[in-house]
Amino acid sequence: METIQPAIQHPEQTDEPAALEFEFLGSGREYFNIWIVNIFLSIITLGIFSAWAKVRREQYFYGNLRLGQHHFAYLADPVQILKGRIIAFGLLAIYWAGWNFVPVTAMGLLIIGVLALPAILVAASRFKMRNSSYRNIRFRFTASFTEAYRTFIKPIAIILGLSAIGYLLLYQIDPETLTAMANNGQTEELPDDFRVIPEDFLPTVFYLALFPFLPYLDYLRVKLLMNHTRWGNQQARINAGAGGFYRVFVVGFLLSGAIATLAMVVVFAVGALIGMTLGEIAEPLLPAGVVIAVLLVYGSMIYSAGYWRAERTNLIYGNTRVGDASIGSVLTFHQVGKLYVTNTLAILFSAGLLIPWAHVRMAQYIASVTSVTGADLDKVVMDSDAQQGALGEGMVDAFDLDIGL
Amino acid sequence: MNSGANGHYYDGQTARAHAAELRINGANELELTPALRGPTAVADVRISSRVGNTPRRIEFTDGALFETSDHHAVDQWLSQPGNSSGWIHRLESKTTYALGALAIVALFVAVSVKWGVPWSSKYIAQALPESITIPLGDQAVKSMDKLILHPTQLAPERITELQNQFWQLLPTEQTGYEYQLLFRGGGRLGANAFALPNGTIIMTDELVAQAEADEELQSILLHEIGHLQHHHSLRQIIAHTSLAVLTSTLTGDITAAGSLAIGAPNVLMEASFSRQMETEADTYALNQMQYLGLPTEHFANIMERLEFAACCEDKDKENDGAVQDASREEVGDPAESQQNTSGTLDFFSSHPLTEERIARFRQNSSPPW
Repeated sequence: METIQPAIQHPEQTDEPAALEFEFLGSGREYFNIWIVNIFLSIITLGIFSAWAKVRREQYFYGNLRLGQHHFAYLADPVQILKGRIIAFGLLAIYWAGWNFVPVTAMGLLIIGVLALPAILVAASRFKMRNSSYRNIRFRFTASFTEAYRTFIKPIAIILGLSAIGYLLLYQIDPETLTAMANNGQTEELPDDFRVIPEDFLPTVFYLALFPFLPYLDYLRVKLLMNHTRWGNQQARINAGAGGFYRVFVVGFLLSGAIATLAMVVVFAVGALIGMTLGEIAEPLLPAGVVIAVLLVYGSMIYSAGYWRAERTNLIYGNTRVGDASIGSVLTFHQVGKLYVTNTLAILFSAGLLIPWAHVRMAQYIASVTSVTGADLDKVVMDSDAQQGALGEGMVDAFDLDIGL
Repeated sequence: MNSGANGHYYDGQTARAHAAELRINGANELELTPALRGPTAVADVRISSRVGNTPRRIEFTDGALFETSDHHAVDQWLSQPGNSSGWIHRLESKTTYALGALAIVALFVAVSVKWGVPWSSKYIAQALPESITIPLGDQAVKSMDKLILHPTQLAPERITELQNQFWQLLPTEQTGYEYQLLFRGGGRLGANAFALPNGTIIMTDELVAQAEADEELQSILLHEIGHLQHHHSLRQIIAHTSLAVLTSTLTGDITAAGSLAIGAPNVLMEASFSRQMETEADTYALNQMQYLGLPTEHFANIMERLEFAACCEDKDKENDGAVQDASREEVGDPAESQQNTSGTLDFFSSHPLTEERIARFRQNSSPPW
């Protein structure tokens, strides 16, 4: 009987340590059955089974992910998830019932939601990590709620401060000018509803202040998640600065703008050409032309979203070490963009039946371009584990926050 | 029968994997070779249920783990008396079962989209307290005023006249609404009328200008009152929200591709639901017109005129070089008035079969008495 040897025996003697490759072994055909049967069971149990369904789906994707010769595992207890969902549902019910007595405005609700975000992030990450395992060693997320709030307090304070300054500046503009702009120059004897007041621009000012900080907030979030993740006694560390996130966001933004513009120019040019050469005869072609144009423009936007996904993933994982091991992540913009477009078309034209196939394809691609080097996995030992309720997990499911690592 | 399974053994303390074989002995105990641990009774281990071809986990109480892909052997250990798990996997592994599940899911989606969601949203909409619906409508009026609409250019006497007619049209029984009729310049919405969840109906100057008789405007007001009496705009909001929640919970994933799965049923529902709502509002208007002794032709007449204005104005402009309808010139840009970009219950954009609707009002043009 052989014992699995560590990937590198003598790191100091090896120039190029052997890389462990990720591989995704699932198939769209097999996953389709699992997917549809679990949806069916969720329906006939009035949603109760959906907790089990979620666990089975996760088990399928974790269990089919192989690194070296070993598979990942998802170990969450469906009852825990069900409890979390019931609690989340109960909170929602209390909110609706309490509305009559204490009406909370949409703004108030938004503020409560934003304030709760760091706590939800921590609770959900703890649950997810604790239930993820590789080689019978669980992952862990160790950040405290306080740490999460401390991470975000400074940028949030700056954003709110900038909004306040912007709001004060708005007061310097004559409201009559704004009102006249909105009402074709007419300002006399206008009902109050048509008067523009600085408060109307409050959301705009807030978004303008928030926008430049989005890459930074994303960076803080990723750093919090990565630097508090452990696999056994191995600590994960990300070695990427905020600059990389700004590069990905700015280039991604410009790129999708450029590609969408290009697609529109092409559509108009071709449309104009056909119109000019064929004239009246081309009129019956118009509806088909409009459909093609819309598909082309949307397609180009979906395609360019591939840049953001590929480069952000590479930035995060390519700069992360888990203990002594480093992760290699070489997604390419074109491949991800192509997958996005073909998956979208497949889902559209199959009325959703190819959703499982699309997910498997994406998992296969990402696994195929991800690897681990420099790992001496046999040395890794278990950490003591802390228990954590399922509230975070259920909440995230109910409100659909994508906080995937 | 003794069958062994090859796999990896992990001791529960380290990540070290030992290639090993696990087999069952006569005493119903699992024996590991090499003997890294003593025999363990099958009853004392936890064996994971099968999901596709992912490896099975045989978990020992001390945290140790044996992992194998030999499902055949593991299922044999489980076939010992007292074990009945694995039924989900049996459902998942047969194509016929999957197709059966698919048929039922498809039926469920179809029924939900066609009846379930619109029907249940009706009851939720009726149950919603005024403390929610009134601010919702007030907010809608405010933001539409600021963003799209303009102050009315109608003479105050004309407004009073039309509002007095409006009061005569309102239902006499308790409705839960504070009905209110407002006039606005339509801006890019052009000739239009819409009902908001707080009982406010907005009619644009452009629409008033299109009417050749006040009864035509009254017929449109009755249609809008019908929307309100049936809580249509609230129902629409509730229906879309609940359908999105339903789809995302069931399919279990909202990713870039998955969001399409939510979009598609929504579009399907919109197509059937909005037609259903227009028909309901038409029915209300038709019944009320007959009850009030208004000739129902008026509704057909103004619908036809607006339909013509929306579809054929462009061609007329091209051919004649002149705008046919002079009244439109006074109120905003006629080209703009054709774009119905409003997200509210829009009077003219959601009318899939206008001809059919017009015919209904023509057929019923004589009062029933």
